[in-house]
Amino acid sequence: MLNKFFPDFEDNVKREKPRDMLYIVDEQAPKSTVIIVGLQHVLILLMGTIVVVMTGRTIGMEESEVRGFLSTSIVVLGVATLLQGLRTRFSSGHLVTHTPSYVSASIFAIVATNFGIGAAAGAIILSGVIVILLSRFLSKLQVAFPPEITGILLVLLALSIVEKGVSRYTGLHGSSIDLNAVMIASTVLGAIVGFSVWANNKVRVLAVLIGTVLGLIVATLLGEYGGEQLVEVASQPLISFPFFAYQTPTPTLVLAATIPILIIEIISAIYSIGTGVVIDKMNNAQWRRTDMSMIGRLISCHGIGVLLNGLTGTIPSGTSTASLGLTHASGVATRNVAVAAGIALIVISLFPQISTFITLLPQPVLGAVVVYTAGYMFVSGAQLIMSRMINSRRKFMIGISMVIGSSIILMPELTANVPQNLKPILGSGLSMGVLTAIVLNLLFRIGVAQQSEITLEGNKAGSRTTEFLEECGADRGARPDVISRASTAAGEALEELNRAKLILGTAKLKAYFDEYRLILTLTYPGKKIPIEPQKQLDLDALLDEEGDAGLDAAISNISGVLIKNLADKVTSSEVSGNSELKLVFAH
Amino acid sequence: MSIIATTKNGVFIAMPDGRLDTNTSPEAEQLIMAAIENGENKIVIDFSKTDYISSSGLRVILKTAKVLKPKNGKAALCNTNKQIHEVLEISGFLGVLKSFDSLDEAMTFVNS
Repeated sequence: MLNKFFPDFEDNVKREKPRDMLYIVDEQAPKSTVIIVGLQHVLILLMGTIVVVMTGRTIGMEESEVRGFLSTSIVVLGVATLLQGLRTRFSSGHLVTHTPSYVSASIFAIVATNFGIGAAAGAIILSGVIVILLSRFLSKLQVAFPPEITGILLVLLALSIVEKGVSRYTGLHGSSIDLNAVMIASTVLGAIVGFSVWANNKVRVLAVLIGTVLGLIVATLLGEYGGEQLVEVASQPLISFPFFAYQTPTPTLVLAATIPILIIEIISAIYSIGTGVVIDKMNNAQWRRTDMSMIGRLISCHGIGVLLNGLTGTIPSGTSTASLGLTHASGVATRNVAVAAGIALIVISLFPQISTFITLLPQPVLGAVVVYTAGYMFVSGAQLIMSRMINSRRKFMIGISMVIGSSIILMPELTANVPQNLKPILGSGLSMGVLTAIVLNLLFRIGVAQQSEITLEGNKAGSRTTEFLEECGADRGARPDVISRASTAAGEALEELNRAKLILGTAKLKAYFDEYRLILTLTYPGKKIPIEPQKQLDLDALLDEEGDAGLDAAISNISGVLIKNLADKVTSSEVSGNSELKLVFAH
Repeated sequence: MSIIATTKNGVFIAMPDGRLDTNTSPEAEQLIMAAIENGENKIVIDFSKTDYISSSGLRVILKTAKVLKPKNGKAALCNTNKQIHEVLEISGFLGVLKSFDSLDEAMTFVNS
């Protein structure tokens, strides 16, 4: 029964390590590298927990309770992050980390203030269960998430974190920029980029740590970090067990509290799809499409994290986008780092001085990391969008979705008067952009058949074949390299049929396309093309031969070589004077 | 298809425009053979305006190399797009004639 709804972990993906990565998901990095990079992830995640401290104070907790609230949150982040790194039926098996969600924190504060923390906890528990159940349907939604839509999701996700990153980067207050914040953040960003691009592998893995230390030095010199923060750190106990300092609330179910939290958590799960796509793509130079099974398991783990937040009465967490930036900057994406980071978080939760120290690091440091991440995600998203062939339908789908999504992000006043219970959806540029893209993608499939046919005759058959396949490819969002191979192989077949006088009339070309393969079927009256093992041609020897007879035989041979090498499968058959050549291309 | 032919620094440059396939390769071959007969023995085929090549187009390349060899001539290719490069690679032609990323590099090679 469990296997039916939550299939066992399976990872059959053949990965090719991208040039800019040092270690990908399944590779064993040295222990020292795993620990160093893991601790840098911990650094970023703990900097994000400032929102937990702020929320605790907002809802009126005593300082000792805030400490326990924070420590308990860190334990849950650690468990969820550790789980993500493991190969289970409920986890991605990738370097995906968990962080408190700012949006969830806002709604948590509102619900806790109006209905009590128990109502917030009850709503979060229910939301976690629903997200886990929904995750199982995601693997069935491959057709709803072609690369262009996941690309739109990434670009809008990047746009949505720009405000978070840039406001911290610039220390923006109203309309005034804090130049000290800019200097600190620029030091950090410059160090991360510089070490990522120019440093050797041993130093590159320390890029974020070095950047943070340099940022901290600049902050201290500018008077932005020092005595005040250290006094607060010193006021914390050395060791404290998280669950003693914070009493877990008794969950209750209040409808008015549950609905907004549930909607926010479903949208947060959609954000996590973007995280999953980025980490998947970062681990494979030959990435072709979203691994929806992995995404489903990632969302399951996201749901488990949320469920644990509910059971412990803490703010719901989501997957960290800032960690993606660190993963790319360091070049280390091995899953062991998630395990190390998770364990480190759980251990650190026992030492409030450490967690408080990191929480109080200057916010421009986190701003710089978020800006780096946003930049990376913009480019990744654009690459995904442009990875498939585009025609006017796809242009409209991409363009309109991007305009809708980005206008909501850039012009929040557009949705200022939207009813509160609809705001989480209608006020989210990411959700509206992605929903628009999904709807338009399905709408524009109307009139696009899975199979098309063309009649080929005359001396323009070759160019007509290329035009036909490019139209089919653009209609279906095919990969341009596959269409190019198919066009060349089909063109070669037609040339050889005419050259060898095997074709006795008009040919028909059928093209069948689904997301995983393109099948071309060429039918014609005449003899079949012989598909024999091709002997190795000695082109150098041909150059010394007398006459052109050898040349013509060589070209026929080359035609066969091209067809066999361009297509993934070739079959040629003849029945009663009619022949068929079938070419299959993996997509 | 048209084929643009120029001579620069003693090198004959042929630039096929469009497709180089069974329909257009006879014209290209005729042009290049006429140039060789007129004494040109440094040939560069510039594919910057060529979208597509088939085995018929490969025949033109092979014939050019074959005719130049006894005359101690040199030929090179340049500015191939992805499709053309893939066809040259699979067919083994990159071992017969060198392919360069720019016209200048190809001209430097044939002049060396």
